[in-house]
Amino acid sequence: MHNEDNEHQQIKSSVGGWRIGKGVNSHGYDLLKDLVGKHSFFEVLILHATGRLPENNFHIFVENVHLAMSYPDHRIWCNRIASLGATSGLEPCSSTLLGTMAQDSTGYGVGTLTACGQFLIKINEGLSHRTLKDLLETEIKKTRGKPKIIGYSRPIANGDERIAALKQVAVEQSLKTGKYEKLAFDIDHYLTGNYNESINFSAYVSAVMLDNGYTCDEIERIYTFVVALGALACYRDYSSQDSLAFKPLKITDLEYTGKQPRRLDD
Amino acid sequence: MSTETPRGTTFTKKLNSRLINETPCKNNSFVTSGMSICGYSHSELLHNICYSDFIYLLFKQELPSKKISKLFKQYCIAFGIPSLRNPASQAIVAGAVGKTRTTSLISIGVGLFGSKDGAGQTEDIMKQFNKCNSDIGFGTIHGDIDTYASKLLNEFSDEHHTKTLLWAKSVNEKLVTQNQGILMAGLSAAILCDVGILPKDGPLIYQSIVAPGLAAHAAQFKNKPLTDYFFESDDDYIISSE
Repeated sequence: MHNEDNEHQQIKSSVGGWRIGKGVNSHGYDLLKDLVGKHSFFEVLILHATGRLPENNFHIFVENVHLAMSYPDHRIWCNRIASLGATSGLEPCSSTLLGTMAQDSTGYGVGTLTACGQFLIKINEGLSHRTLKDLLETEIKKTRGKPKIIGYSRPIANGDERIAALKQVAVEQSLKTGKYEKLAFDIDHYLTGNYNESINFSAYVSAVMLDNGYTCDEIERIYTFVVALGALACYRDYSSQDSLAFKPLKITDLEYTGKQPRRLDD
Repeated sequence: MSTETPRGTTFTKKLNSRLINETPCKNNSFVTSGMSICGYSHSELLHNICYSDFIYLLFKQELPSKKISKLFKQYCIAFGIPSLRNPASQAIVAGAVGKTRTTSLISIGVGLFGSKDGAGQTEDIMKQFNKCNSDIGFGTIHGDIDTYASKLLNEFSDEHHTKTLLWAKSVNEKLVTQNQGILMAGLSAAILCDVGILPKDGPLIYQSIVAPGLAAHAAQFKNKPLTDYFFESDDDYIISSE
């Protein structure tokens, strides 16, 4: 039975809060004394997404993942939403955040990062009693022999140019290759050799995140804004142009495939 | 007409629609001179059908029968305004009283209604209900039966006698002994099944239907002072690390 006293009117915060006139507590730190000026935005992003500050400058890897996901290309779905916001006169906050919302997707963005993490965990657990080949072929059978494994295909291009750039960051930050990264590339090796499908950025990033102690839920939270910069740039491009200048459609660009003309009394 | 990527994927250069057929102006094909919806003249629809039939037409591309029309019209009213206590209502009100740009408010409210307790599970619930499986869509709210959802279920099933509603009512009666019952998301899913909506479209309709009520909550708070909404005292704001 629900407690009928007034306790429900309270907020219980495990993350902190503002003690008016005294200070701002963030996860036990004083935001303005301990964090501002002493830690970077990405360190505090990870703190707020996970409850703990990153170790060994891992936030630099996370920051570079954000940079590598910031393609200012209007054709990418989240960016197009921001561009359409700009061309119809919507403000930058709404346009960019509505575009960012679109990356909660099974096709790209943060949705694929978490799905890749879950897939790698599942395969790793399966390896205790089955071979990698057996596990992968079971997955491929689910899609009638044509591999559609999350993290190992892209809708537009083959391969992924971002992995080499991020690997360089990992080397510079002395990140060690862990079991999930090794597994991710073992899968890549099998799929490349047998199905001409190779590892993409999401599988690589989620593997590194898992190897550095982050859970799938934490990965999802950390990369909440991962496409925002690309969307913002695309917004800016069309915000100063004429109204409806972005990819206007003629009526002849549409094709009606519905019911033929009819009347209500037919 | 298509474009091809390096991967060999082809993308269309035209958008298909089964809903709207626009007629271009003779001298400017960016400008519409006429429009039909699912084969009916837009003008004929706006003079002759009600709003709930129009929504049904958009999703089904056919107008509802009289029986379905009545059930769907009642659905739109039953679910047209979430309680002010609903997180989506509270969110849109927090935005309204916080002087958020008016045109951003509906995205906040309807977006939050995409949660698991709102429309987020509608597709899964509808799929399960279509198989007469009651694993989701039933349960408890704050540890008890959702009495009002059960009351509405009885009203709907007693009046309409449709397949899913009758099944849901029988399940609901059996669950009483376990202090469980139908939830609002379950009732919504049951009605959407019975009016013939596809599970994949269920969340879109459910979110669309609550939008006017959420907007009305926002309108009530839009010009109110901040003090007409909550800002808990430090005593009521407990920080666990202190």
